Amino acid sequence: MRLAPIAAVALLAAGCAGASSHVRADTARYPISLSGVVRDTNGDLAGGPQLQRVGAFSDSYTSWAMFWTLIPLWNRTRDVSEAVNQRVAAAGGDAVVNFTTVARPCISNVLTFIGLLPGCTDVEVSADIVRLVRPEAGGAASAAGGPGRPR
Amino acid sequence: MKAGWLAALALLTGCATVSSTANFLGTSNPVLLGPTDRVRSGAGPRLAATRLRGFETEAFHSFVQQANYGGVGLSSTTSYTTDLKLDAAAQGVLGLDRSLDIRVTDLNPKSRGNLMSLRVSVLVEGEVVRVGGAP
Repeated sequence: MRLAPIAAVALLAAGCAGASSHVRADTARYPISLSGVVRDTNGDLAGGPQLQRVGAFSDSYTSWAMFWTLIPLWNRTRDVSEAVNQRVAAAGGDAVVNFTTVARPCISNVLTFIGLLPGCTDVEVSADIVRLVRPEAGGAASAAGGPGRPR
Repeated sequence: MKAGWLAALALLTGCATVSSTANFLGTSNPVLLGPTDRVRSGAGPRLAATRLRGFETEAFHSFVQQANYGGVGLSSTTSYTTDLKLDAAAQGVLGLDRSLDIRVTDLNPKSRGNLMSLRVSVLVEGEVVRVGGAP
C-alpha cells in the first residue's frame, strides 16, 4: 500500500517535459545548404573560394508543448522562407550556406519534471549569405567547408 | 535524501545549458533545405533528380543521472555527438560522387527531460538524390 504513492510519483517523474519542432523553408527562393556547398546555375558544385560571404542569417524561437510533449502549443513548425528571402535579397546574395541548427532545453524544463505541465526547447538557426563569385567556373568546388565559418 | 534531490536539481539546472548542434560544414556536396536546388534558378524548373535512398542522422546530447544508495551520492553519464558525426554520415552516403545531393525533408530540433535525465537533439531526415544538368 505504501508503494502506491511512490509508484505514482515515479510514473509522473518518468514523464518528460520538453518540446519538438520542425524547421522548414517551403517557399525559399534561394538555395539553403546545411553544408558549405551549393550548385550554381548550371548545376555544378560551387563552394569555398567560389562563394563570397556577403552577410549572415539568424533566427531564434522557442517551441512549447505539454502533457509529456504530446500536445504542441507554440512554434511546432518554423518556416524561415520569408526571412531568408528578405535577408538574402537585401544582402545581394545568391544562396545560404552553413545553415546550422542549435537546440537547447529551456531552464523551465528542470522545474517541469512532471510531464503534464508545459515544457519548451530553445532553437537558434544561423547561416552565411553568399554570392557566387565565378558562376562560369562551376565544378571546381572545394572538398570541404565553406566561406567564413571555421570548423 | 533531501540533499540528494537538491543536488540533482542543481546538477540538472546546469544541464539546461547543454545544447545540440546540427550542420554539415565538412560535407563536400549540397545538403539542401527547401525547394530551390541551385543558384539563380528563381522559380524556374528544378534540376532533374533521381531518388537513390533515404538519409537520417542525428546530433544529440544526453545526460542521465543515477542515485547511488550506497551512500556515495549521485553519478551521471553524459554522451553527445560532435559535428564530425553528421559529416561522416553524409559523406558516407555521398562518397566522392559530385552528382549527389542530400535534400532534407525534416529538420527536427527537440528536447525532452525529467528530473533525472535530459536529452536534446536535432534530427535530420532526407533523401539522397542524383541530379542532372540544368534543364
